[in-house]
Amino acid sequence: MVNSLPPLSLAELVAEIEDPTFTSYVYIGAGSDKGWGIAKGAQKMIANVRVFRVAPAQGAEVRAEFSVPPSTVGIVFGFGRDVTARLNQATADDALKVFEAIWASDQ
Amino acid sequence: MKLGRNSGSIACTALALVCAFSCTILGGCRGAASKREAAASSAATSSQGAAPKTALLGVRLEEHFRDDVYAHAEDREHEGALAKADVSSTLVLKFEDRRPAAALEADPRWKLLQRGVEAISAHAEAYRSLAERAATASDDAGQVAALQADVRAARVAQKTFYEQLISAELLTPEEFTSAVLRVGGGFDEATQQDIEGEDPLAVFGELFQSKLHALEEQARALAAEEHVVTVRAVLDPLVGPPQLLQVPNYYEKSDDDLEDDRRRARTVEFERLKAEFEAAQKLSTAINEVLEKRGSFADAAKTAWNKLRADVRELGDWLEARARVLEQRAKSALEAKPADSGALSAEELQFWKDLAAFAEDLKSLRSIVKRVAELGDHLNFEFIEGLHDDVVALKDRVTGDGEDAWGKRLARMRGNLGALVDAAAGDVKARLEALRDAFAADLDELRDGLKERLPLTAEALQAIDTLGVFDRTAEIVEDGVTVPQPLEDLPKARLDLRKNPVNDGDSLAMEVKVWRRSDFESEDARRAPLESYSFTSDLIRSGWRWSGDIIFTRAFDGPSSDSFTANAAVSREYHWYSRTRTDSWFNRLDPGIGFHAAQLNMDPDSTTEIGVGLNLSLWSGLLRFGAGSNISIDDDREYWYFGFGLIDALDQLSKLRRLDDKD
Repeated sequence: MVNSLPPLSLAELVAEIEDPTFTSYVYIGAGSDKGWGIAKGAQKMIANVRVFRVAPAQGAEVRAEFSVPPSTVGIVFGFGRDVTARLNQATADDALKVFEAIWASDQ
Repeated sequence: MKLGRNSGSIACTALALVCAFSCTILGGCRGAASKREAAASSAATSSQGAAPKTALLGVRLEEHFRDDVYAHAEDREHEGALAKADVSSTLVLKFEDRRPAAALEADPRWKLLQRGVEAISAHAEAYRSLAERAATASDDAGQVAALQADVRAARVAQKTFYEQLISAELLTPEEFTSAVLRVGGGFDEATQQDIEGEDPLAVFGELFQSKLHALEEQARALAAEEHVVTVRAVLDPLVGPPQLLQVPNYYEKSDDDLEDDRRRARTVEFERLKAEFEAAQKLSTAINEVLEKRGSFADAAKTAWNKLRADVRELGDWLEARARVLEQRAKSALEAKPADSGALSAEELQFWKDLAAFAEDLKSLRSIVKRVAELGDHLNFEFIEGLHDDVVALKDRVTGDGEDAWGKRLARMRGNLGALVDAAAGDVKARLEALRDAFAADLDELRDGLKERLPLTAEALQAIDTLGVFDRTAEIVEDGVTVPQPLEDLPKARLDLRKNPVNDGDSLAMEVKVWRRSDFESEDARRAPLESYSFTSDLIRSGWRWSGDIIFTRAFDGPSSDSFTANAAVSREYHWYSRTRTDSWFNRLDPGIGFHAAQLNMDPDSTTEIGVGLNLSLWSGLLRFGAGSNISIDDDREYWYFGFGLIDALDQLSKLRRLDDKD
């Protein structure tokens, strides 16, 4: 499953996020980041959540698309493209905070 | 009359033995048996009811017999159950510290963790199922909404579970993050590819397992210093009072060691056989006297019982009547005693002193009479022992040679009374003369009567008292030190019966108690253990056994072939007990085979007759058959007999008696 941008384009990412059968979590950062490891763990543990990693170079573009501030590295979506939570680096590195945000994203 | 006074009490005991014997053989005492079962059931119920099911201690009783190990009882489920242990085996109590389990069972954190793996499995199943539904979902709004609802429910369940773990302080945010990172996997910088993580079930299962261990350790540590365990082995022997046995590590006897116990074992066995044989001899004498008068043993026993009661009544009436008259006369005479003792002569003073002492003896006599009359109502060895001592003391005064002896006192009283009569005048002289004549005559009659009767009574009481060695009502003597052991590090309690004074027929209880240390060390008499376990074993002897028997012999030919004669015998038999089929008929019959030596009375011209031969027995020697040859006579030497082991019969009697006492 392709879950990174690139190779996904922004349009493809948005299309994936808009799938009503899943909620989504987008992490902006490097593949070796702790936050990305947590995101992958969340995808394996929480029902119907899909996670995407956006390379730092494309971070500004994505933040602009979803209107989140530059400090945001984690964007939590509900069933669709509505943003339900914005996580900074510290929060995205705390698995419990990430999970709580995802658990609450389906409301 | 001789029979009644000399051996009536023994015959009474014989009758009771025969009843007990019949009950056992014929199974006739259904009431008693059902009472026994009810009592056992009641005891088991009450002991189980007293202790909670969440036991702090697990106990297993094993018997190591020859090369095999038999589990007699385990846990409190078997508490109160009777088992049979061989006197040559080793009993081992094995312990398990169950405090952590008991403490953890009540700990919600323990339950939460135990449910943890199950919960994670449920989350994984929901995850898989919902992902499949998402993959095949259509654009139908209703179907999508239903899926979303189920996703929410699954997430709520998962969230609730982890929140419970965190609020119970079983999971920290750092631990959670660390575990999630293991699930998430790594990243290969060279290929810029994600590396697959571990299975969430394995990661969190491992985490929960370590938490469970931590809780166990915590529970163990908390309980470690609070509880101690004591073990006592209480031997309730057929012969002699109950006693505590040495249990290494748990009960150390004072100035004692295993060698002493071994030596004592020989003594006890010898004493038991001696007492048994002596009792059989006495019993055989009594029964033979009965048999001489009546042909049938049953009739004779019944007659003996009635005769005993009649004799007791007669003796009582006789003594009571005379004692009352004499006491009244002594009282009247004492009332005539001058108020001013200083004016009395030495002879007169002595007379009044003797009369007062005599009045006391009469009181004592009436008390004895009353107690002899009560003898027929109960068979209490302490009562009999006390009565016997009083009878012997009175007998010594009546028939003895000492200053207190009635003979001397009476002669002195006669002389002194004569002097008083001579010195008196008028009415007083006439009254004293009448007192002297009647009193002296009555005293002579009483003295003669007592001289005849008291020794017989004392002898009869002594005979019953001989059987008192079988009394098991005495209290246990604490002759050692109880060593409490900490519950977290309990050594096995091992009792090698070969090194202890145990015999077949004895009963052995291993008592285990769990205490709070503070309670155990307290001197409060009301202190009580938290838990009690009692494993009771009836001891048996597979192999050779001694037995003292009462036997009823009859010659095959000759003059002694017409009737049975009661005799005493010592037999040695081999017995088997199946440990693999404990409820088998074979074990219930408990057969034995062996040989015997008997004291016989087949030839009136021969003073000492000894018979030897072979014998078989059933029910642990309770019923015995044998045949042999009288080696002391020349003609018609062969005989056969039936009989019973005295201790077994007495044990049955004792059990029945105790049941009656409980009612």
